[in-house]
Amino acid sequence: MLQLLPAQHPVVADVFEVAESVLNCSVYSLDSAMAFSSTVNVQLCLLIAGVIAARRLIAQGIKPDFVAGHSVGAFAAAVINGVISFKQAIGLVNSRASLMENAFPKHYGMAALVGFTQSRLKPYLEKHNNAHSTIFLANINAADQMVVAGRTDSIDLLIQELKKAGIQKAKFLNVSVPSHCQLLAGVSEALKQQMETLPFNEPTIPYASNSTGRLLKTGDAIKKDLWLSISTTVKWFDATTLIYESGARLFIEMEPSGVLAKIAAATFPDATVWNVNETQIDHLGIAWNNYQNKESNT
Amino acid sequence: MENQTSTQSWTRKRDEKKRRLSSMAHLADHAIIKKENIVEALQYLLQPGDKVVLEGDNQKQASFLAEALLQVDTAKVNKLHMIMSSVSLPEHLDIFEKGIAEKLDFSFAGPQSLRIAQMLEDGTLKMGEIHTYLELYGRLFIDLIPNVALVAADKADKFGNLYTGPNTEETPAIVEATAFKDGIVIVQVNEIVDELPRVDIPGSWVDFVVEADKPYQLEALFTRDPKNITELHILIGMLTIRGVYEKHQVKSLNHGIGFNTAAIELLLPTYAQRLGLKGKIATSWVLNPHPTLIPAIESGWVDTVHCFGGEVGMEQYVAARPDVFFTGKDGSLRSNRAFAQVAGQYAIDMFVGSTLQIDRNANSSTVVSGRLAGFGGAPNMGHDPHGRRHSSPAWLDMITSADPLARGRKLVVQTVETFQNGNTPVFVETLDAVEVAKQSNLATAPVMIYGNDVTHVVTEEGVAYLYKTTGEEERRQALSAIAGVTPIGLTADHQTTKSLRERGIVAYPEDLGIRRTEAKRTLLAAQNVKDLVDWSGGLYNPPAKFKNW
Repeated sequence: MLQLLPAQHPVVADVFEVAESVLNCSVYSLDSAMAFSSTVNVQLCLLIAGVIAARRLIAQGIKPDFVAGHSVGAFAAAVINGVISFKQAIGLVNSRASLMENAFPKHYGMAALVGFTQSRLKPYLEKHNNAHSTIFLANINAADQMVVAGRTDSIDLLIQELKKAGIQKAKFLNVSVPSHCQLLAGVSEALKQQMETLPFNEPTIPYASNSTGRLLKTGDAIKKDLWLSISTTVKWFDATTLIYESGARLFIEMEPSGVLAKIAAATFPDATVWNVNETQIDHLGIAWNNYQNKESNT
Repeated sequence: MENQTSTQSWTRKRDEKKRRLSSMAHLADHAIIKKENIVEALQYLLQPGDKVVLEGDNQKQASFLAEALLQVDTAKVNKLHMIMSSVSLPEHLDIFEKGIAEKLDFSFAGPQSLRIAQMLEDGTLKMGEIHTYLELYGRLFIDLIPNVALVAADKADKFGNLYTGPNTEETPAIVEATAFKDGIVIVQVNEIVDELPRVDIPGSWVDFVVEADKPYQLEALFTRDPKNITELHILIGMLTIRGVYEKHQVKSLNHGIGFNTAAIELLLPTYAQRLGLKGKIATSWVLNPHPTLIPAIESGWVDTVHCFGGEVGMEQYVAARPDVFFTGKDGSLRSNRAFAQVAGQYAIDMFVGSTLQIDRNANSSTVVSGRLAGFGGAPNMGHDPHGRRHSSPAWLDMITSADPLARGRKLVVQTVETFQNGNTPVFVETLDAVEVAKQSNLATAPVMIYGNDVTHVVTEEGVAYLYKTTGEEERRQALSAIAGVTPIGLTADHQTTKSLRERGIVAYPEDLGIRRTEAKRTLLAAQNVKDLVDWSGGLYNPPAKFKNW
């Protein structure tokens, strides 16, 4: 994820330097198949890559009207709209990920479900939870794309039930932490305490909340979302829909992945969706200007 | 009884209007307010708690006045009670966030349906009621009489006469309710000219006009690109033409805006023509100027079309076909949403729509969880108006009893694929609307079309003639028989279905002489938007986003 970034690029160099000064290690040591067995390294890399991508776009004159970050991505979003510094974000994400890793070391996990709406899933989930260890709705990513969290044996049974009911796709994700559900209430509490003493600024642009699906416009509200969202459902479908209803028609996903871009393209067929990658990132300023000209001509 | 006339003023509204107008006289030159003065003028003309209509139709938007309203000083203008047929722009809800407005009565909020639900939940907005168009227009004359109307027109002259042209829509209804009860009518216009093409609204109904910085926003909502019509839509279209239009000889009708009905429009000059139905069905319409109707019009199928509003790109085509469309002396379309809704409610024989969910009793809704989209006009047209008296063959054909007092029924037809997007069943145990009513604390569940008004449901499996069923049980059986492999469809019993087919309560394609393999895209009179332009002889000028050739 970080290996391919041009280390001499001023934005990249600056972000790497700050990260390394906080973490006391080379950023490259976070980024390998082996290092990724720890969620701490994965989350730190996601934060670093996200902030770098956004700053490289902004440096080219691209001006966002809203920021949204999925799960740990919310920390990068809060850096980009000026609520916290990147240095603070590294410290917070480091704690968040470490707390998560130590919270449920075994027998827990998450699964992605595609093809059922929330209202269609609801009765199956209720019925299942009456008989088995509770499964939580961890993400609502699109109208028909959900993620659930809980004990793996219980998730396994739920997957079988849903497959019988004709769901398109239901499969385990390669994660061992049951994120975004009450099981992580302790992590939220610890993060809250850590954030209490930190200075939070007022945002320069609205921030789409994971925990409420609302647009947040104050530093305090964003602070709460940053500590709370790890123990509540990620309402990504609502958050992005609200951004769309508020007038956004161009969605840009930061590195890495492309998953969110796919979701946005499917959810908002008439919107323009880009996902940033190393081959085109330094040319998106031109694409942005073309987009602006096209919009003002129609 | 004491006579109070000597002590009581009967002109309080008129006096208040006069007071407001004179307070801002320095900002107006007769009827004209300069655009740079509009925000200040609004601060004099609006009072806290006023009932204000801000024109947002589902097409035309008074976008300049919406932005101006957003800039007023909240210390001077606040707690407004907004009345809007369509909540479409972000600004429409920003005025609540800023505290300028407090309460909302509306009809349709599709483009803002999540935000409106959230704001209601958060207490940022107080809900009046969610109306159908006709109820909202009606209440403008009863208990939602506007203090101020903020509306949009194409052109004005210096006397305040207005040209609203093809997009007249609901402007006359709003202005009438305001002007004749001493409310204040403020109109944004694209330009002020010396001579209007025609007068759609007389200047004596209008207080102020303001030339906007840019033309009002207008959406092409009724353009369906034929290239997105699938063979499933075509099959459903064929079933509907044979099983409903032909069977009941339906001549007057309204279509929804889905691809199912677009397919039907494009099958009239081909498939229906081969069945010899020209002149026998679908001759008189209340419909927006759908581009997909062009081939049927050009083939002589359509006698007349009255329009709710205009459609971007159809202006020249409509102007060149005055025998079909309602046009003014200047040649351009005259639409009128209120009259079109009345016609759609009482004057036509059939409404054909589509929906996202149908329950086992045929209640249907386009509401999805956590979203408040409202109704628009579909419920006005998608019900049987019991007060109807005039007869027609199709209406009389719905009589199923020998009762000497039996009356006919409007045909209310739902055409749906059993699954939307291939995987979400349309037929469900319980509508999401029930949950939405609870979440948003609504007095009633937001059902679009009530099951007891629905006469026919058509899917790719077949036609259910619900008007022929006796009792709830049989109604459910008929629905199950055409609900495919949805949970509702899987409850169908083979023997029961056989009996329903024998009694003509359910018809499968083979019962109507249709082979599923016949449903090919080559049956469509136009395959894409370019074909529609060709059919129109170049008169149809589609918006850029549809010009993909």
